[in-house]
Amino acid sequence: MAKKLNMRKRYELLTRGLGWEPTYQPKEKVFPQESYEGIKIVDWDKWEDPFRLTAEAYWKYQAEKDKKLYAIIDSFAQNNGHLNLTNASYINALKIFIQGVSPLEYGAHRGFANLARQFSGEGAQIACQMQSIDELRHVQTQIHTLSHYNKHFTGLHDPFHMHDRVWYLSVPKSYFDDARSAGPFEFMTSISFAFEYILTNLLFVPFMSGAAHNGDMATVTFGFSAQSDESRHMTLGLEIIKFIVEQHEDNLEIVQGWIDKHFWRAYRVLGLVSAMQDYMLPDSPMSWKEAWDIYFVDNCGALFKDLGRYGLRMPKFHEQATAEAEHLSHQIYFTLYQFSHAAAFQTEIPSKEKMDWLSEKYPNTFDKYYRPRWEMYAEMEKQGKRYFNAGLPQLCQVCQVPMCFTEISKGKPLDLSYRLSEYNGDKFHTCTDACKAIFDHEPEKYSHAWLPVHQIFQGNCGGEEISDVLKFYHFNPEDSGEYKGSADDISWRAAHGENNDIEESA
Amino acid sequence: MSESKVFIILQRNEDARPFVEAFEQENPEAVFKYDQPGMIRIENIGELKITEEVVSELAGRDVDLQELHLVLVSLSGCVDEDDDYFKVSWN
Repeated sequence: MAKKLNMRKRYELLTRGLGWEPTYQPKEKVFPQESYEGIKIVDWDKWEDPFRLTAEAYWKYQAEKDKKLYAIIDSFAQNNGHLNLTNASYINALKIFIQGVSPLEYGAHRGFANLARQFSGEGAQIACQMQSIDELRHVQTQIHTLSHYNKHFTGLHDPFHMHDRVWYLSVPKSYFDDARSAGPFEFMTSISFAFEYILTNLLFVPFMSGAAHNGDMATVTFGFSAQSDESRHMTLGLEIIKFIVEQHEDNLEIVQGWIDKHFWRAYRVLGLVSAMQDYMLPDSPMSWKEAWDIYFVDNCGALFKDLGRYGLRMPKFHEQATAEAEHLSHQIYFTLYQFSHAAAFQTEIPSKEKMDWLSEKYPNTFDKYYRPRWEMYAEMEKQGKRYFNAGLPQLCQVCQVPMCFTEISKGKPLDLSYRLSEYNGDKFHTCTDACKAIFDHEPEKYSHAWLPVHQIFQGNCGGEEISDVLKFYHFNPEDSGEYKGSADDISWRAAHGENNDIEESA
Repeated sequence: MSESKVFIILQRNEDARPFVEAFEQENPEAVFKYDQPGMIRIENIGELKITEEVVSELAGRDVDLQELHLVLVSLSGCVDEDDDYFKVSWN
């Protein structure tokens, strides 16, 4: 019997020597997207995947991961695991997850499939194919896991339809559309590096660990199962950046520009995760700020120290993101609270215990700026005037988050922050210097953004009334609004033998 | 070796046990954090390394180091792996 090949040799056989030089058509026509971004690749053979997985090992381990996950999903369903959560209000975080994140997994699947076609290097083709299949696995396992919750709770019934239309979901959607409508190298820098390497730990590690903490075995399992692939993607993302920069000196400036832009775009998307983590997990094991310090400040500090010898520096505006860490979740959750009558999830004022936890985790900001506002809303609710904002928010032209951010880095955390650009005689508003810089660099792209609020006003979203728009979104009436007294709250209490005579405050 | 911190996060389950113990044995300076539910965070300055020999000894069978993929949650650092070792480090 032939001797078993070693890992390096196996990887080499899989990723080298299978390509060919085209003769019927010039190479630029076979790979038409490879050069127009200005990235110069001299030698694709320098591409090296640090995890040298062969096709055989890949399928074996992925099958193993799925077997474990599906065994847990089955047992979770058979044992009515949803009844062992800390509270049904927790499901609201899962609603945002399946509406906002799972469709991104699908977008990544399509994006990497395209890259596998567009890159001419075989090592890159193989890596992109595997990642494309990973991403498809993620969206499928997420749908399968959360379908159990869909039998018992509201808001989970049509996430893909919602993703393409709903105002708060245009935040993640527009980021991925931005990356997918760019060239292959920019997409890769955006998704593999800025999103996966720099930021996804913030989503998949503390939030999923939080799911375990709140009794959601099924979600932590798909989360960690997906994250085991992410570790591979992140590692690859780092190698790709080094590969591109080492290929040609002209590449450095282009790549740094993309890192700056996509760090900020992806960070803005994670604003939703900050609210999920701090407010929507009934018990949070770690605050957004703590997670930011560990996964961004420490970890990315080390990363960019390492990348310094390639001439790369920390992403522009990272100081601002760090300065915002003590405010972000509060500002985002206030916005979700005010507009949840038009959302497919419900919100509520944080409990007393939750507020005390927030005071402890945010000693510089919560009691000073945010607790008084919650106390005011609580007072209004007591008087039967649960606050919903009757208007439609102005959205940032780039990140599409409602203009809820303040001038934190200027030391004015109570002043609303907005910026103005003019392009072709029209005015465009952005939320920060960072989003404005992105707009001003490519106004021809962002001036075309599909902004949900503008679209509602233009009559493109089902009609004039909020109720028409919600129908257009495929929301059911019980999906939205205040959590207390909601269908989810009532069925949860009934299942736990609790009194449903709660105050009608909404 | 770099002064920067590398980390590896593994699921807290039986499949991860021989890997966790190997990290303990082969990286005496490493710090093990169990404060987050469902996972173990292993940190070290500069690098973290395990060998196939030690993991197999601890598992009581021949372990393919790529089985690490089944329990890996996240990591930070540059990966270097071969049949007989797995290493994460900052250069």
